[in-house]
Amino acid sequence: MLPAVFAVLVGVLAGQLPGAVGGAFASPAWHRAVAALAAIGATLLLIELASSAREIVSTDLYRRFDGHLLGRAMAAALARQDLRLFDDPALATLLDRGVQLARFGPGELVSGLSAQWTVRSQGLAAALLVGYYQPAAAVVLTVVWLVVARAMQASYYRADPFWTDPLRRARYIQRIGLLPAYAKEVRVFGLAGWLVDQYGLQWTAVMNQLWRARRADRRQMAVLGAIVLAAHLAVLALLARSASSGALPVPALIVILQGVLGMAMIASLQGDTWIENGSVPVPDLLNLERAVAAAEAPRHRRAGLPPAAALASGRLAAGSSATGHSAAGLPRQEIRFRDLSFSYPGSDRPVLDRLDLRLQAGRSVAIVGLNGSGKTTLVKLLAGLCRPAGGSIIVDGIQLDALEMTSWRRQLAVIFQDFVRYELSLADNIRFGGVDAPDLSVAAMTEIAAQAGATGLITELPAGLATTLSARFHGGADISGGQWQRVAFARALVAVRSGARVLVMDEPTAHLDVRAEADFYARFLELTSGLTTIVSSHRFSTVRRADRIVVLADGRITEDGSHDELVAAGGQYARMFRLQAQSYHASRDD
Amino acid sequence: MPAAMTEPSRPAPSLLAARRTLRFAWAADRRLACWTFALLTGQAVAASLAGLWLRAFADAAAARHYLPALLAGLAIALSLTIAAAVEYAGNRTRMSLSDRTQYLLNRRLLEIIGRSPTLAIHQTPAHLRELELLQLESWEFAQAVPALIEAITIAVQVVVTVALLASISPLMLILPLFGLPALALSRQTAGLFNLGNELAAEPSRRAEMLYYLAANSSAAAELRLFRLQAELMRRFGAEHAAIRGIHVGLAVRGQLLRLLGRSAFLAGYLGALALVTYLAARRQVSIGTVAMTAVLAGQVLILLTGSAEHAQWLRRTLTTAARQLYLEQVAAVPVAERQTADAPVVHLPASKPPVVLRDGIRLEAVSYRYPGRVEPAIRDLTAWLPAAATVALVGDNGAGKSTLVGLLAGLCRPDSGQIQIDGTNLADLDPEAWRLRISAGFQDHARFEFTIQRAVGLGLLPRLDDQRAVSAALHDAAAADVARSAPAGLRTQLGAGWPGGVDLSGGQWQKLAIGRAMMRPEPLLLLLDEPTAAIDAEAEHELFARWTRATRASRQRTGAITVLVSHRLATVRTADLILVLQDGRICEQGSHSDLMDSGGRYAALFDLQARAYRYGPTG
Repeated sequence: MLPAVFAVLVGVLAGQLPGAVGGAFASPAWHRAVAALAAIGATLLLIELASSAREIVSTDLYRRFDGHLLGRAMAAALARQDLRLFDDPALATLLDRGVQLARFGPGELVSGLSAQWTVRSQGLAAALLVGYYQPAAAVVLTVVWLVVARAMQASYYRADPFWTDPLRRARYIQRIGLLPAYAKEVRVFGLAGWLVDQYGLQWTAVMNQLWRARRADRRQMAVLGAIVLAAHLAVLALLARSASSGALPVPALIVILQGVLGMAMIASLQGDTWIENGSVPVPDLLNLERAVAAAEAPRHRRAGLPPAAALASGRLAAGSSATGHSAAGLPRQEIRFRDLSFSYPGSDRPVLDRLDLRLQAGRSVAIVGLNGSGKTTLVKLLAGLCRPAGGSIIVDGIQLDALEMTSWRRQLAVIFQDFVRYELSLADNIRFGGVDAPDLSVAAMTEIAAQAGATGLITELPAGLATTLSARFHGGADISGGQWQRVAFARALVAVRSGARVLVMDEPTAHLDVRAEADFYARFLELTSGLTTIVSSHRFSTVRRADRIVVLADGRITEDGSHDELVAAGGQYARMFRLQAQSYHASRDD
Repeated sequence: MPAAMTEPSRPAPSLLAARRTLRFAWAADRRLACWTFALLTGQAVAASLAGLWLRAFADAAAARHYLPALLAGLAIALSLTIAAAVEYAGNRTRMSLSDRTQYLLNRRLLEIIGRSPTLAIHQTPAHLRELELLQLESWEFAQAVPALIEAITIAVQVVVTVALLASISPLMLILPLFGLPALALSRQTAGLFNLGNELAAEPSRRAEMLYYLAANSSAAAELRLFRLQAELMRRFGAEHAAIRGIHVGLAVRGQLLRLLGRSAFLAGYLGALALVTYLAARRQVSIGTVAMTAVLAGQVLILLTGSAEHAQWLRRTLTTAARQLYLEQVAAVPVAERQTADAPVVHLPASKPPVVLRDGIRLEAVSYRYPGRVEPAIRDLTAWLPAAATVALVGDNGAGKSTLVGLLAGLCRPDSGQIQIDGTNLADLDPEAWRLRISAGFQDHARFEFTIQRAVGLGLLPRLDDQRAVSAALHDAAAADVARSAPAGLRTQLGAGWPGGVDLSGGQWQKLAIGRAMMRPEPLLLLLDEPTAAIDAEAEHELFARWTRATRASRQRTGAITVLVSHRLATVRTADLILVLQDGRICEQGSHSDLMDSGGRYAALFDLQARAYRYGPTG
């Protein structure tokens, strides 16, 4: 509004001038002119203050919106308690798109809207000004400019969604070229040139789409130009007539003319690019949220607030989103897998095929099988991360489905084969095993680290437990694969300490050196005492420590017994063991 | 280049950076740049003339002349229409121009980073920060030419406007001087922008890490099992609050500075208006002139703000360009040269690697320390890897095995000492030529989400789409089953996030990585850094048997060396030479039987592991 006030004041100033002309400086007209001048000064100062305030608020909103939208994408990714979002190809594609596109800089939407609205509101204020004197002219010109604004609005991105796939690919190529995870192989295999070519290829595909959408339509522009010109000519001709006839006083004319000039701002393009950039992720994000909500298991829906929304607003307390039997203290007798079948969405190959297995509480079992035989899948089913296609998992006579999922997961301590390397402090990495248990003291954490063989790690790191485990962060340090494995082990031990009664270890020694591995199996009994333990490994040093060994092949249990029994039985286990044993015992025959 | 001698200094805008930016942006698209320039200049001139028409209109009306007023009206209508049309066209060309510049910058960045021979950029926090900031600011950089063009059009507009004002009174020529403080302060405010990005770099990086962690399929199971969802969201929110705090705090400071500059100009503006009012009161100028002054002086105000903003843009751009220069220097300067200050000349290594190895690879007193670490990873290590030998590296986690592999691949350069390939210093070899003669498989391999064909074919780019070559490599890697069990065979897209894509298990990904390493025919040096950690016993057994068979003939012919890192001593024992590493040094070496006879560290480790494979009851 302030620019309009400014225009009025200029008119007032002009209005006082004829009176002031030739008059003394003490004349009232002159005084009023000076007052008008002062008011102009004050108005301009206010304009400045307002625009500074706007800038600050807009910066704040930009960041808030950025955080909010990214937070929503993140919440959508985390919302489901199972892994369908990652296993179902259609959902996985939606997720990846939503997540990648949200990184487009949604905050720019705020900057753009703020910039555009500032300018356009000035145009509308100018329209009000003109309307005060010439309502008809103001209406005509406003309509004309609104039509122009609508016609010319950038809609390059929204016009054509096909460009997003090449863009995603281009960004993926860029990540390969720039991220350390790929750095070694990019260099060894000399991929830089190829990556640059691929990047160019994808980018050209994006740009061709965009440029086509962006090309100005000449005929449309000519028509619009003619309309603008005609409307203004008509208005200005009328103004010229009434002003030169004296019907319209000159000061009013000056105000109106400024207003007419200012009204062009109604169609300003200021901020258009930002708005376009910032609004790119919104449809994909909404799509993702809809898909997550639609795929919600009925159990979660009953709780009221959809988990994604609850997570985004920080209201998801542990255990609040599900109902069922509490699993505290389970299993007391056994975990039973009955006729369990499973295949991944979009694949016909069953990973598990009517698998039957009974695990005694407090005992350990080792699962042996080839790569891809379904060991990891079995763990995921046990943790309720996937739902079996057939059969069931029964804990002490209660169906897994009927257990309250959070409390059941609290009973599980798992070291995944693909355990997560959190680029956070060592303390956080350990603490995450019992995130909803009371905070661990430093002494407790040091003790657990010692059990996991990570004492050396604490003393070696520059800031001990507080060190971030990544050199990308200030004061952080990278650690080796073997050290990461010890950290993952410590995390599982924290879960045990927080009450977990089932310990699952998927390849717990894959990254360990010979001594650490030997140390691990020497303490296997002590570490697993009282726990229901499932261990899968390619290393027989670990496997043969278990009370019982089962062989998993073709989606079922094919052999079951102690190490000695299975070796004596001469099946697949015996063959695998012999293969490895031979290469060691050959040394004795040298 | 003198910068080669020392660590490049922190990037700051410089003349070199300015020249670089201009050349770069100009190269982006000359036609578009010219168009943008013409359109924006037209717009600027049309806008500054509006004040003139306003005066003509008002004066004609005051004098009761209809026709001149009508003509002035026509001029106003025309200039409004033209200004609008030109704005739209100009905006679009400008957008295309900046897209193109941004593309070129990203492309260049890929080249710089991808072609840098060592991993130094990825291992040094200071370099990483510049890389991140450069990506973050690439959009600003892309505005370089548009910003420059606008700065020029603003100058044109200021000149036109001030000339109009000067026709009223020469005193008006002083007016632009009041804009100087704002222009001068733009330097500070631009600095604040860059500072904001620098301060927020760490929290941004952490927020991004958490973000991708949440969406990462391989972390999904663990996050749910340990119920970490709310914890991750909380931390993400905290990082974003920190980022916001930094930027808003700096915005407040920036706006205060801006207000300071603007008040100076406001004083000048009011002075000008007072002057014409005074002149009008003394009948020296018309009422229309007062109106024109109010509008024109206001335009100068807007223009100078604009130019202050553009000055700020340009400065930001220069800082971004300086970051790029910095990274180019880092990428080009090998680590060794940075350490030895007495060797100022960087000679571009040009020697070609030998076709056949006769003597082998010799490491002479090699030491290496990772950037930012206190303790060296390799200390004064001397060793001979004889031609045609298979060499195994054994040692505890952190003993330096992987570092040694990195040194041999040329991924790191020794801080002191030399690696000699048949008598030629590795540092003197053309890094790309050397890499064409080696191959490698790593435990922490990359997961390339392309088709299986390409994920493996990348090991030898000329055979990227050659199905037979890839099938053969998969066969050599004992990994043919991965392609067999995939829904579309070699054409299967990897990565569940891509249309029709599938995820593989850890072991399957690892097999593909080994397949990639098998693509190179007869490499002089094959580096296998724990490539089978996630692979089952039968596959491993098959794999090693094939390697030994497949490479036996070519080893004898070309003297090729295989270096294997493994914790599985049953495999290690088949090597011709075993190097036992401890704390970055070699503590024992020899063949398996030598080492077993000497009863040292290796023998103890072997017995320890073999115990698990004894028949009979578990002990």
